[in-house]
Amino acid sequence: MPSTTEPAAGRQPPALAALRRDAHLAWLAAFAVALHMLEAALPPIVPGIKPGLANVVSVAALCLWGWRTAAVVSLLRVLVAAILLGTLLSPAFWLSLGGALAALAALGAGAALPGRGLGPVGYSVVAALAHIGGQLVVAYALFVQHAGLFVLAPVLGLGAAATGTFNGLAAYLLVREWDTENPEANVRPGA
Amino acid sequence: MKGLLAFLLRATTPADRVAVVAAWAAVSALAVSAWSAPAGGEAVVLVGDHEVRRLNLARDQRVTVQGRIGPAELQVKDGAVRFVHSPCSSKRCIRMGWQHRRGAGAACVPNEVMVRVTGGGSGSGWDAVNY
Repeated sequence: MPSTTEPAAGRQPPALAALRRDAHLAWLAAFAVALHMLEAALPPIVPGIKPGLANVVSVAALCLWGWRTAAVVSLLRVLVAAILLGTLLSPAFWLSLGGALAALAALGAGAALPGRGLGPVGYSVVAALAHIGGQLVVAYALFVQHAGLFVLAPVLGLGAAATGTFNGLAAYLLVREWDTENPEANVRPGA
Repeated sequence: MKGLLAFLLRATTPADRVAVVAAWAAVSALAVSAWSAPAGGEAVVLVGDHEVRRLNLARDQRVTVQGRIGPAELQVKDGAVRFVHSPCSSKRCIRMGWQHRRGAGAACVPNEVMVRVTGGGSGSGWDAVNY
């Protein structure tokens, strides 16, 4: 990720700090959209299971700049990717949005934990599980009112646990890289 | 291997480890409970719209039921059920073969005898799944 953080935070005028924050948001959202698009282009190895790489960005955003940034990045990503893919307001979009909202809710709950709390890996796993949970609820509520839908739950759950763990480690590396490159720039909540 | 373990420990907080283990335990429990569904299925036999027999698919057996035009014989074996004899002319019910999936069934229209696998049978009962 390109550095948008020279010089150190806190020693610059508020307008510049706001600009810097916006630049962060734009980069993160663009990065997340790119991963989302990449994933949409990949052939589905196992039907219904996607790697969810864009969640790496949301989790890293949460660890580095807090929940609000993660929420903005995640929702922008869902919206922009839907526009680019031409799925805006289609079932795929609602499923994507439902998953993202559920994941954000889980991330918010996780961030509220006392003590050292969760790191990228824990956030990623709870977000991944919440994501498929949210998608199943949306799918049931809007599209398939049949209990048979939940036959998919174990498959999707195992997929989410696997991708969530893997993506969490990726998010950890991303956060660590960012911290080493910008030692003075981070304003990590609760760290 | 040791390096990987060290990396994993460095990458996770204690709460992370709890979350990861809990997540895997939860989805594994979900998978186990979903995929170890009881095998002992049941089938109902209908003549017209009346249920005349309930067959335990875990017990191999042969039963004869009286249909509209004559007796039909059903066989239960290895968790599946089929028609073996029927007084009808087309014998389509016999050619439908073994039925074992939940929701599956075989019917003899002329004789008005129908057998249908209800709860517990193996398989999900879907013809196809599309994403």
